[in-house]
Amino acid sequence: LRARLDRWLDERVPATPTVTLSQRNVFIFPTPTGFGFAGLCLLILIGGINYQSSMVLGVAFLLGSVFVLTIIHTFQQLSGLALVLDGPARVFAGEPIVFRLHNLRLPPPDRRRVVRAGWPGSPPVWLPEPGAGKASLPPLQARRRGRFRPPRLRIESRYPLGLLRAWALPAFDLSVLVWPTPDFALTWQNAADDSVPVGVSGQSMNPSRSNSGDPTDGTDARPFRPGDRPRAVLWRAWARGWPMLVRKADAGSVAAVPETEWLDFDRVQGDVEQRLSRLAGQALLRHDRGVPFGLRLKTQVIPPERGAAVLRQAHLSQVMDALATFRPLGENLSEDSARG
Amino acid sequence: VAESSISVSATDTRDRIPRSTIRLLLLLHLCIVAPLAGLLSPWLIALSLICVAWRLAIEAGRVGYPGRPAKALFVLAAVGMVVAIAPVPLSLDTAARLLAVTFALKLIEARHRSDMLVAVLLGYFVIASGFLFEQSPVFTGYQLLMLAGLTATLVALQPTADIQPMRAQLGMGLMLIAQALPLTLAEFIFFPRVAPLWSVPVPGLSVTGLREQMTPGEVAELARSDALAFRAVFESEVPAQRDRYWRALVYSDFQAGTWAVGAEAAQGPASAASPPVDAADPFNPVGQRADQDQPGRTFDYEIWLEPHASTWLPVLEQPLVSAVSRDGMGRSPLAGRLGAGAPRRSFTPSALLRAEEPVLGVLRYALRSRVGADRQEPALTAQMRGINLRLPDQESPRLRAWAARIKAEFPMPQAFVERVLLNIRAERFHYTLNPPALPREHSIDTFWFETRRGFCTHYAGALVFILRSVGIPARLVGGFQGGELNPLTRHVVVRDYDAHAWVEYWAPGSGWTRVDPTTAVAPERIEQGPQAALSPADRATISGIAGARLAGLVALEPWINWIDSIDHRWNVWVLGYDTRAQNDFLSPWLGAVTPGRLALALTLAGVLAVLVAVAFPRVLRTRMTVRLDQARAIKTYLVFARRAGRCGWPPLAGETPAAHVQRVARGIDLNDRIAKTSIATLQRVLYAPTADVHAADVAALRRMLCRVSGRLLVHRLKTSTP
Repeated sequence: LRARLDRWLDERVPATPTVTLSQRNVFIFPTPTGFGFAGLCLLILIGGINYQSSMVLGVAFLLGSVFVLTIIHTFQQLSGLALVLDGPARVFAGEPIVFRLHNLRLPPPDRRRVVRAGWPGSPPVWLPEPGAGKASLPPLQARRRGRFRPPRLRIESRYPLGLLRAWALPAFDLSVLVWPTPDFALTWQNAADDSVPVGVSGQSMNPSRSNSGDPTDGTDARPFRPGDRPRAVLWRAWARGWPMLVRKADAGSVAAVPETEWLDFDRVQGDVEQRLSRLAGQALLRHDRGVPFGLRLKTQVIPPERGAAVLRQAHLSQVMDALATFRPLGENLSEDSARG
Repeated sequence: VAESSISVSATDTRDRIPRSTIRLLLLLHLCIVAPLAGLLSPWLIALSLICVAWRLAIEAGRVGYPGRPAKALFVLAAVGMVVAIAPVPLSLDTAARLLAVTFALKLIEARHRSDMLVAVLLGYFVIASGFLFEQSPVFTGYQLLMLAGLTATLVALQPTADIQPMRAQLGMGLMLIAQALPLTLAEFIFFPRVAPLWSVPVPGLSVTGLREQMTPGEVAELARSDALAFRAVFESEVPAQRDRYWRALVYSDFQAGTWAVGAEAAQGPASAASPPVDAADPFNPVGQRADQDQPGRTFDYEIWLEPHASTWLPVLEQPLVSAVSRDGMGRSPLAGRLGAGAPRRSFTPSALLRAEEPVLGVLRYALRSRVGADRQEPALTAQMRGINLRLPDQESPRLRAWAARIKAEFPMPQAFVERVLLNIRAERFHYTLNPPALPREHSIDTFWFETRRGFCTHYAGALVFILRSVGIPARLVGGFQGGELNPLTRHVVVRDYDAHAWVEYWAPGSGWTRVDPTTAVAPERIEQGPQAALSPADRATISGIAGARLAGLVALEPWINWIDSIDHRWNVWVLGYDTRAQNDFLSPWLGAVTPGRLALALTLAGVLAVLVAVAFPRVLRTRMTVRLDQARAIKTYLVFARRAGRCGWPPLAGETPAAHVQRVARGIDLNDRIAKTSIATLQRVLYAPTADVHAADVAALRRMLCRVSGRLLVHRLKTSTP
C-alpha cells in the first residue's frame, strides 16, 4: 500500500526544480483538534435543536462557518508558495547534507504565513519570510556513494486555528553526488612492487564513524609543530575544523607515499566498496601532496594531470565522481541509488 | 555567503504557552462565566476565582501546578458544590454549572498547548450554554465578542516562529468571526429546523411576574419592576388603553389574607364548550352566535410572551378563538415535543388560557378577543357557583354586616356594585403603592374601615369579599392593564408595572361582568396608565429605569420605543425563527419548502457567503490602506508646496503638482536625474490606480521631495547672501 501511495504521489506530484504550491499538490485534513472542534459544533447543534433555541443554533452555525473558512485560510497558507531547494553539489558518504529552502514568492502583504518544512522523521523548521534568507533544513545523511536525491519534503501549516493541517509533499528535481568515504589505509592486492608497503598504518577504516569522524583514519597523525613540512600537514582535516595535524610517517620525508602513477581498481584489496573507498583515500592523499596520479577503473581510465592547481582540482573531482558513480558490472548509472 | 539561515526548530517552542495568551484566556474565562453568575452559588464563584488566582500565581512563578491530591480535592469540591445547589442529576442548569466549573478547573490544570485547547473548546461550550438563559441582542453582541476572543486564543496557541503581538491575534480572531458571519446567516436561514431529537431536562428558571398566590402588597413589588411581561401585536386596530384588560389568573380562594388560584387550577382544563365560541372559529364548528349579534368589538392579535416559568398566558378580556398557533412556539423546550394537533394550551372554566408546562422561552400565540361586552354564558354551574362564593367563616365580620345592610337596600347585583363603588368614591380612600401593613386576621375589615389606603389588589380583594358575602358569585382577576403602544412597530408593550387586579361578578342574564374598583379611587390609573396614579411619595420608591419610564420622561420615550422595537424584531426574526417562520419566509422564493430545496439553497447561499468572506479582507485593505497611502502622498506634496512657497516658489493657480515640481527643479538648475525621478514618482502615486499604490512609493516620494526642497533651500541661501 505504501508503495502504491508513493507511486500515486509520484504521478500526481512529479519532481520539479521549483515547486509552486497550489490545489494540485496541497492536501488538507482536520487535525485531532479539528475533529474535537467539529464534535463540539455537532454537540451544540444537537443542543440547539433539542432546546429549540435559535441562539444556540446560531452559535453552532457560527463555529461551523469558522471551521469552513479555516479550510480556506489554512490552504492559503501554503497556496502560492514558490519553493526552491538548494544543497551542496558533492559530499562524502556519511557526511551530513544540509539542504536549504528558499521561498521565492512574495505573499500579499496582509497575509501572515506560519509554515513549517522538514524531512520525514526529523523535526521541522520554520519557513522564513521571502527575503529573510533561507531555511536550513535538518541535515540528511547519504550512507552510500552515488547520486543522492532528497526524499519528499514535508511542508505543512496549521495556521490560523490549528483545526486543519494543510501539507504538501513536493519532490525537488535535485541530486547530490556522494563520493565514497575515503579510506586512507592502503593494501595493494597485487604487490608486484615490493617497495610499496602493505598498508600505511594497518588500521582499517571504520565506516560507522566515518561521518565527520577522524579524517586521519588510516594514518598516524600528531599535532603540528613549528618546523614541520607544510606538505605533511593534513590540510583537508584542518579545513574540516580539526586542529592542524601532520602525518607522522611523513613529517620527515615524503618518500613514504608510494610513487605509483596509477591507482588501479583491480590492484586494491577488499570488496567493491572497500576498494573504492581506498582508491578515494589514495586519490585525496596524492592530491594533497601534489603527486600526479591517474585512475584505472575497469574500462574507465582517467590519465594523470600535471597542470595548474585549478586543473588538478578538477581532475580530483573527475576521479572522485568516477569513483562515486562506478558500477562494477558496467551497468548504467541508476539515479535513485540513495533515495530514502 | 551572507545569509541569515533560520534553523530554529519548529518543535522546541511547541509546548510552551505564551504568558500573554494565558492572561487573555483567564480574562475571557471571567467574562464568559460572568453572565452565568446568577446560576452559580457564591461558593462556585469563589472556586472559579481561586482557579484564576492560582493560575496567575503559577505564571508569576510563586506556586507550582496543583498536584494530584489538590486536583482531586478541587474536583470533589466543585462537584459537591454543584450537587448542593441542585441534587437533580441532569438538569440544564446543573449541566451549565458543571461546564462553567470544569472550564475554571481546566485553567489550573493545563500545562501544555493541547490542554489549553481543551479549555478553549470548553469555553465555546459555556458560551453556547449561556444562550439558554438569555437571548437579548445586546447579550448576543457580547457573546460574539467572547467568541472572537476565544478564537484569538486559538490563534495565539498556534506555535509560530516569532511571537505575534496580542493586537494582531485579537484582530485575527475578530476577522475570523466577521468572515464567518455571512455563512452563519445563510445557515441560519436555510438550515432546516427540526423537531427536538429527544426530550431534554428543562432549565429551572425562577418564577417571575404574577404568582399563583397573591397577598395584597405583592403586586406593589411588581409595580416597581420594569421587566417586560409580553408584547401584543394587533392585526389592525389597537383597543383603547382603558379597554386593555389582559387577564392572566383568577384567584378564587381566600385564606388568611391571601388570594390563591387554588380550586380553579385543581379543576384542570375545561371542556371545549367552556370558552365562549365564535361562529368564525374554524376549530369550533358548533359556534353558537355570530359576531355581529353581540355588542362590543373583536380584535385579532398575537402575543409574544416572555418566559416567566409559570403556566399563565395572558389574554385580552374575552378570548373567542382558540387559534393558538399549532407549531409556532418560539424557543421553548416544549415545542414540537407533542404530536401535531395535540393541545398544548387550554382554556380554563374562567376563560383563561393556561400552558400545560411552564413557559421557559419566548412563547407566541394568536387569539381573537371580544372587548366591551359582558361574557355571555348560558348558566353558572353549581360547581363554579360554589367556588366563587366560598369565604372563610370567621373573616371580617364587620364588613359582612356592612355589606348585608347595603344588599338589603340594593338587591340587584349591578346596583349593589354601584353602591359599593360609590362608597369608595365618597369615603377617604387613597390609592398608594405604600399602604400600611394589614393583619392576617380580618385584614379586609381593617382595610375597609380603618387604613383605607391601598392599591388595586386591596380594592379588588375587598370588593370580591363583599360580593361573595352577600351571595353574589365573584372572583378576583389578576393580570395586566394597559401597556404602552410602540408607535414604531405598532405593538403594545406590557411590563410588570402594568400588573393589575380587578373583579368579575356573576349577574344573572348578563353573565360574568367586569368591575374595576380602582376606577373608583384612581380613575387615571385606568385611563392613562400606572404612572398617572402615583403620588410623589410613591414615585420616590420607584427607582431606575422603571421610575424614568413611569415618570414619562418625554425625551427618553423615542429611545425606549426604538430599543423596544429592535427587541421585538429580534424576537420575531431571530428568536422566533422556527419551522413555521422559516416556511413563511422562504416559501415565496422556494415554493414548497422541502429539505432538498433547502439543501440546494443552503449550498448556493453558502458558496456565495464564502466568496463574500474571502473578498472581505481584500476589500477592507484596498478601501482603507490604499486611500490612506494616497492621502499621505498628497500631504507630502502639500508640505513640499509650503516649503517651496517660503522660498519664493509657491504653486501657481491651476498648476498641477508635477508641473510645480518641474518648474522649481528647472528654476534652481536641479540635477536632471533627481528632478525626473521625483516627478515620475509623484505622477505615479497621485494618478495610478489605487490598488497599485504602496506605502513604499509614498516613502520614496517623501524622500525625493525632501531632496528637492533641500536643494531649493540651498539655492536660495546661495542667491540671497551676495
